[in-house]
Amino acid sequence: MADGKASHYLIDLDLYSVAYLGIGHENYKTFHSGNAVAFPGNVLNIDIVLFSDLYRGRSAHGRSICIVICQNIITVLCEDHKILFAISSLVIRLLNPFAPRSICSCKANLFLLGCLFPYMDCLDRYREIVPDYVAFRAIQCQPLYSSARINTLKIKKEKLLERLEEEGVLFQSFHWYPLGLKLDIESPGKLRENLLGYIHIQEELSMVPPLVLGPRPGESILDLCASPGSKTTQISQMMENRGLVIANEPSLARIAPLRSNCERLGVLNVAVTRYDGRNFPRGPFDRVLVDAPCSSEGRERRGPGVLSRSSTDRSLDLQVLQIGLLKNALRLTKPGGIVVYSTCTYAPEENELVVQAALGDAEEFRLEKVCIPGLLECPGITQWNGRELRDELSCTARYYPHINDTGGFYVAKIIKN
Amino acid sequence: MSPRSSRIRNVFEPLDKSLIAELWQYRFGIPEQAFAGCKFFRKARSIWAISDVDLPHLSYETIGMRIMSCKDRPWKPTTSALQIFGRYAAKNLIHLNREEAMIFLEGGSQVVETDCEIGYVVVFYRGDVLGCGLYSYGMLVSQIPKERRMTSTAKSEACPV
Repeated sequence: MADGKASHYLIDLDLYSVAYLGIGHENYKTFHSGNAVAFPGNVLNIDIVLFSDLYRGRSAHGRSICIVICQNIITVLCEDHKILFAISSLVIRLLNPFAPRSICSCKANLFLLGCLFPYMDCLDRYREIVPDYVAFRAIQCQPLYSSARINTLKIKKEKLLERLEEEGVLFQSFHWYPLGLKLDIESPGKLRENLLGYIHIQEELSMVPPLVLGPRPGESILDLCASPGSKTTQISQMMENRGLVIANEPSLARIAPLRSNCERLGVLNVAVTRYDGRNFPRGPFDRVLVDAPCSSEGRERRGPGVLSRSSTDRSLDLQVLQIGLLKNALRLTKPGGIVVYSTCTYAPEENELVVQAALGDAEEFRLEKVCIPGLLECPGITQWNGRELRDELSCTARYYPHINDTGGFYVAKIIKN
Repeated sequence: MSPRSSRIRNVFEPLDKSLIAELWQYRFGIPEQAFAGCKFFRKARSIWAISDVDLPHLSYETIGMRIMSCKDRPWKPTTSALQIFGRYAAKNLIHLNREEAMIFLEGGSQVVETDCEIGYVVVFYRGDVLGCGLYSYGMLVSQIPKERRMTSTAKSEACPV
């Protein structure tokens, strides 16, 4: 840009692709995803664009691809520099379905880039709100370890650990939750302990919302979006199989895994209903959990490809549903009761904005600080896209993958006065 | 026949605890105290158990755990129910050794020696209840639900054709 001499540019969407592909980048001016947005408009000969998120498989390192754009020829390389496919409009259309079909007639490579950009980085809009953004991007490529929760309804912790040791399974307890285990094993679902219901395979952060909800034996709890039942059964475990948990799940297809998990884990206090959560008819309940359907961006480490499906539009679509669910949950709670709202996404549209919209101006609700000892959380944001949100939202918690080496999560705790 | 609405289909009828307890006492020698804090319901030909609470008036898909199936005669306890209540069993139980337990968990049938009565039995391995088995004429047939079976790694070796 500045010296006018370096006419080759390399855009790298996460710092690690360059190192991983072993491309000598000293000859290039490098742009990382951060400043790629500020890319000079008059440069036409961009040589290499590196993607790391797209097409990433489940291999240990993820599968990077590299798109080389040189004049009018575009080539796609995979990790070992083998040509995956030379370009056609196909790639562009894969990356951006709205790109024009007559891509070859485009004169400026920059235009191609323009077509690519929307899918390059849907996480990029969180640059301002995520602390240490570079580490945040880098960790998206690392697969998440398996984790499980010990089901104390069926077995004591000590006895289970003994059994696992006997079977030669490597494990490590979470430092913040004694019943959580990191498992170092290929397919934990096939463990005999899992089939007998002594453990339940559950993502680490998915154990947070029930802890924030804090159900006590004998209470009545509503889980508005229950399937596949990880949080439901954790609630039931915390209640020692006493009291009542209503697990609501509108989708018939998702009832089967919910039932199967409840039965396998020996849960006796869960009743399953099939209402639309926005119109769940009867209450009141002592506590309500809304683990809302979301764009699941925080699951990227577990199931790569989630990010390519998420977009602001999708978040805004989901927002309508989420506000409806949370409003109904607030209605169904007893005075003095607790509502926990959680998602596994970073999008403020699905998190803080939902909480703000559902609470409205009502005086009867207040947010309580979400804090799990041993787990580092970031405060909920109070400003987004130039819009001021209510200050109280900083009591809610955002969990980022690079801070605790987990997935991503958002949890809000609302108390009805 | 047109599919009926779930509002009509999902009718749970309360059952008397002593009725259920008597059946379990008769077959497995499980005392009624094992079911303390439970309520029972019947829907179609299944019997369900849930913790003793007042259920709000809703349309339910399931209530607690399905513990018995009365589709066939005699009634069959579910594996999930036996994993909870089975440890109180005093009769009609079988203890397996490691190899037998593996076959059982994989869903296989095997010859075992036992003095059980013919019918459904509680299967134990090292003090844990594995689940429900069907014992008849020297054969123990695993009744573990398909999705909860262990997948056999050495099946081809174990069952020579």
